[in-house]
Amino acid sequence: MLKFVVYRLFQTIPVLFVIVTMTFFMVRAAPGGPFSEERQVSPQILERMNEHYGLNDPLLVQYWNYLKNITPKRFRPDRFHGEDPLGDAFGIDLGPSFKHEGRTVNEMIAESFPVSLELGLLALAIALCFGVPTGILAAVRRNSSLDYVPMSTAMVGICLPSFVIGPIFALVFGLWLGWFNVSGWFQPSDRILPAFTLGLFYAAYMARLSRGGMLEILSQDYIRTARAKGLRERTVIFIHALKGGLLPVVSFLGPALAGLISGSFVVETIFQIPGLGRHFINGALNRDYSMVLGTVLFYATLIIIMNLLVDIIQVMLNPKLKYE
Amino acid sequence: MSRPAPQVDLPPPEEIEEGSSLWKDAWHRLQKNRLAVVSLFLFLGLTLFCFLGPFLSPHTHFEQQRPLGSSGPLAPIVLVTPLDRPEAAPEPTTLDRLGERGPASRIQDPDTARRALRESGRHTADGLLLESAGRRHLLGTDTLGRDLLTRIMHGGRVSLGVGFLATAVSLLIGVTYGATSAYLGGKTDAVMMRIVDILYALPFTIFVILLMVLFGRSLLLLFLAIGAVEWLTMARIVRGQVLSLKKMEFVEAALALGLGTRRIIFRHLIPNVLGPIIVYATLTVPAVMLLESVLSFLGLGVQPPNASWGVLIKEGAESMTVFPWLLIFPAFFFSLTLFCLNFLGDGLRDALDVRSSRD
Amino acid sequence: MILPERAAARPIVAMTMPAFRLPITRLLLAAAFAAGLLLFNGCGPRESAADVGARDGILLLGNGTEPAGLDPHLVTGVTENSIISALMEGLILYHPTDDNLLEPGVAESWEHDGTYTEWTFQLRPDARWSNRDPVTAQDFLYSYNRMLSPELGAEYADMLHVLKNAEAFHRGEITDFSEVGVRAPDERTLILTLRGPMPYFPGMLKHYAWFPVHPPTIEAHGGMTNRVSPWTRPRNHVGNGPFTLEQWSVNRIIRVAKSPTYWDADRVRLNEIHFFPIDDANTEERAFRAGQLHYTNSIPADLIASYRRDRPELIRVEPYLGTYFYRFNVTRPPLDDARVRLALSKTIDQRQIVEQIAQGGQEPAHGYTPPGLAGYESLRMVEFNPTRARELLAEAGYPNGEGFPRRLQILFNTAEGHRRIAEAVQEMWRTHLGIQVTLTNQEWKVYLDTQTNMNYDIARAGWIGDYMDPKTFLDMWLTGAGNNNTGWSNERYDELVRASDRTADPEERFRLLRQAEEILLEERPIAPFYWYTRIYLIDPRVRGWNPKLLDNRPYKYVYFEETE
Repeated sequence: MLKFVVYRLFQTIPVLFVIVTMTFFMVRAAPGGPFSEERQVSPQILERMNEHYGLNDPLLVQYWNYLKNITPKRFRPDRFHGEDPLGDAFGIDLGPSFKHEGRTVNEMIAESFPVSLELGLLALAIALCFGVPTGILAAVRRNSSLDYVPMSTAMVGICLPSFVIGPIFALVFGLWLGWFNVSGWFQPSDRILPAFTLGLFYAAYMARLSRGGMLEILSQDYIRTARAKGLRERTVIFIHALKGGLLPVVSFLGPALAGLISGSFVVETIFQIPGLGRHFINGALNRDYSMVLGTVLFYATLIIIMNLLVDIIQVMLNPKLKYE
Repeated sequence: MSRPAPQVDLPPPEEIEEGSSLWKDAWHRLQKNRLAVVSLFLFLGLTLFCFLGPFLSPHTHFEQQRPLGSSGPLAPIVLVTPLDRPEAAPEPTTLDRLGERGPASRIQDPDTARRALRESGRHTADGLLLESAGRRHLLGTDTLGRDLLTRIMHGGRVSLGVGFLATAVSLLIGVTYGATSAYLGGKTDAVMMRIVDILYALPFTIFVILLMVLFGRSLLLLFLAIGAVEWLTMARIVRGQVLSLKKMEFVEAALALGLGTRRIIFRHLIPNVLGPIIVYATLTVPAVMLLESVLSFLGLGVQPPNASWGVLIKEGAESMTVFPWLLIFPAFFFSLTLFCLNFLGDGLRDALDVRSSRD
Repeated sequence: MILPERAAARPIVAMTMPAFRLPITRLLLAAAFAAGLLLFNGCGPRESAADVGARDGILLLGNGTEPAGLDPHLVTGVTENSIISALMEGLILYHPTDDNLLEPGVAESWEHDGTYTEWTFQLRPDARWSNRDPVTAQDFLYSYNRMLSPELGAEYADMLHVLKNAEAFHRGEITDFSEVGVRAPDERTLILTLRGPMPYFPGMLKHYAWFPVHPPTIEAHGGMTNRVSPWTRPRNHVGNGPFTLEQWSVNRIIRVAKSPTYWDADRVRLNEIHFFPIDDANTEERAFRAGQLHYTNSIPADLIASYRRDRPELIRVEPYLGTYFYRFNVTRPPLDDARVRLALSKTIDQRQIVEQIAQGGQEPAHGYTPPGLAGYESLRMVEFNPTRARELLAEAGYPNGEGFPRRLQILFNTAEGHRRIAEAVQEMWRTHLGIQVTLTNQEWKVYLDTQTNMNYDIARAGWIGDYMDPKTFLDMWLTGAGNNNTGWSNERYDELVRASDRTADPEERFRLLRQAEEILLEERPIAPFYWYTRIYLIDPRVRGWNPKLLDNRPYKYVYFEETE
């Protein structure tokens, strides 16, 4: 397994390189620049601003400089804390933000990622706690009310996007019942509404996927055999069926997890949460080049790590597979 | 009966032709599933409703009666004519808005006027002639005074179209890609999955903006953009499933028989992972329909005065505390479609499940 | 409210049940969750943040998007302005009630040389930076030098071009700053020499581009021309305003507290102001209703009517110095024909748009420059007249829209409000003129790019005045001006606006500018829709918050008073 992990980590270098390169040229090709505003600045001032941020250099020079800046220069995981963990620990410099005067992308990610991570993990916990048991139960008690009712609820969850469910939660639990603040990220209780908004949607997904996966497995020969051998139903389900049945959930988990912990723009906007998702989208909308590249790079690393984890879990669930 | 699977005993070639009876059997089994049949007909009805409805509606999706903006479902309409200018075109308003907006704001005692209108259909007050004009809009109107039902029907065309085509695209690419990657394994698998990683990470917003700049706006592009994003997760799911299947005996048997890679993937592997594929496909349809409204934000989606369900829901969500029907009705049609699809998908999955047929 | 006992009871009940069957497990989970939820909040009715704030003098403001920065020389937006005006102070302040009036700030008194060209300011002796350094005339010298340094690339630097030789220095044509019309004979005297007469000059000084910065702080954090300087961080920031910067968490909160060193500290009645960057108007409105805010930056259009009907004491609608209009690209036929442009403009039913779509009590624009500028009456040339419009269109060769060469496109940036207006206009032109147009929405930056490159037919636009003079609206239509973007050019117009720059007599100036605006409206390269209003929700306990045309907030006059 170690060999597999090392091999995969080795693959990330070219993958990240391709991502950075493509993103770099894509954002530059998009119309509008970081300094275009409704009240246009004079061409002379624009020239000066571009000069200040090195945007007047030839594109390839800028690209080369960027690559140099983001190459890790040291490995000091012990320094991975404080305001600029990426810079202190690895010497990675994602550059200054073009939109937020006087802030670096390093520190903005360092500031917002813990928020998104917390929200994402909470949401994931909710999604798993509600989604997977519901799905398993529905599959086991197939075509009963324990199947139809939760699954229909899950469908409603999927049909109602977070920009609908979020405001409804805020109205009901925030305004009418007065249990929570309707926005902000200050007290522990401020986590609950956004986490549920985000989590229930994924819970619905997981319920559907785990039900589908379980049904698939429950009709397999080896499950019949197990049942025929007179094993208790609980043993059959938990010991034998679960491993294979959760496979689709696990596959879905990689992208879902990366999406969850890198923040959700919609939920962060509705509940006024200082997470990474807003930087990710607003960076693109503001043409904040360094912010886009920084967040994409960060997100890409997350995706790769999550997919690697998923692949490991898949092998653990299915011993027939080998690490490839 | 259908072929048993896992297929340890592979059928001789002539029986492979007969494999098409898989679909025939499936269709028979599907017919026995009442919920699925009901869903199927309901879904067909909805589709017809969206495509034919606008022709039967007395309203168009673009014609605006701004004075009637955001009137509720079946709101009674009142025509207001100033008495001093009887030749002027009467301005419509609703019964509950008398005394509030437009010329009817001159009415001092709206309650009396409402009662009189309910009883006799005509009323004169404060220099205005008020006439009842019945109820014209079954589901009410949007903020610009357009008939909501007609807009929902019209929007359904786009949403259903986008939903299905984009899902089909993502299915086609995702399943083929995922199965191929898993089956071939090794270096090919590594490269193919790393490409998926790359595509996951690229910033979607910028990608869409660039697409638009390069190719202008078009519906075809819309499908492509959505399909290009949505197949990635599908590919990973299919790959995960196929990986677990490909070590099974029936694949080895097929290999031993000298069947080609393509045949093994499409004939033997994919049919065995249909369950998760169908489930995820039914999940993709709503995701795609909602994604379309995001693309509209970036300028790629449908252009006003046309709308889609995603756009209608998004608009409705903005004003849901004041005009809840603007959210509820589009969301209802949206959900109804997905419920049908969901049950249909489940039915289809069961019908195609070659193993359960032995029960 | 939920009682704490009930919260505690649930898990106990759940735990006594057998927990090994699936449904039970789920119940248990749900119960644990519910209990967790209640524990957080099961402490009886809470006093809302707004109540606490009103009691303790903490003002809670919704403030739109996250500010791009807090350096007065680098920022450009309204969002930033509303925070900076708590932290910094210029020579002259916004008057608490009327933007046409002047209020002494760092400058105690000022006078001009009789031709409105050379202005002398006396600085007050007790003006202090938050580190207790005195605010001196040299600080202003340094600040203007910084603003005009080409290397800094300050967006608003051209506002200072009114100073003698400032433009040449900014372009790098002269490098000696002493040649620029700024002098400080002593610590308390600042003499500004302009390139021409400007009766309205003191009013311009209220803008943050003219604010001083603390030179030692700037130098300590990267130097005069460093844009990525951390000097605006709470621990580094040195200001001279009524409040000091205490906390700045991106996308979360900016907290400022009363400054003990401020010269007018006795008048400051608030202890703290909290700025919350809330992008979404619906979120902001919910936060206001939940008692988390005293003031919202905006309000969703659909809610205006119900607030005005049910809670009129919470909503305020005030005129704002801004115009909503459409640009016509006059380089593209048939929009090169003024008759076509007039016809299109005259078939925009402004009243309907204001009443039924914008709904914010806006005034239909009968001219371009908004009303409210003392001494400059807005013109009455724009009106809804479909009959005349059809005649004009017929004269131009397209009776009833027949033979209209092609489908024009209306370009707008993606936003619900703009979309509704564009859809209404589309329908108005279809019904009144028989012309079909298509709508194109673009994401903000793409939209700006399309407009700058004049790659459009008709484009939505808006303009907010920077200072209280019609020039802030009329300069942009000069030939080739950076914000013209219509291709429109008129020699007589340019001449009139330039002549006004050389005129010292205020009345004569306004006469010239009015003539210029008449030409603009006759030619109609733009179709004005309405004059903006500011619509917001405000806690009735907040006092001293007055309607201001320029939407500025003299926080030192704001206080709380309990209402019955």
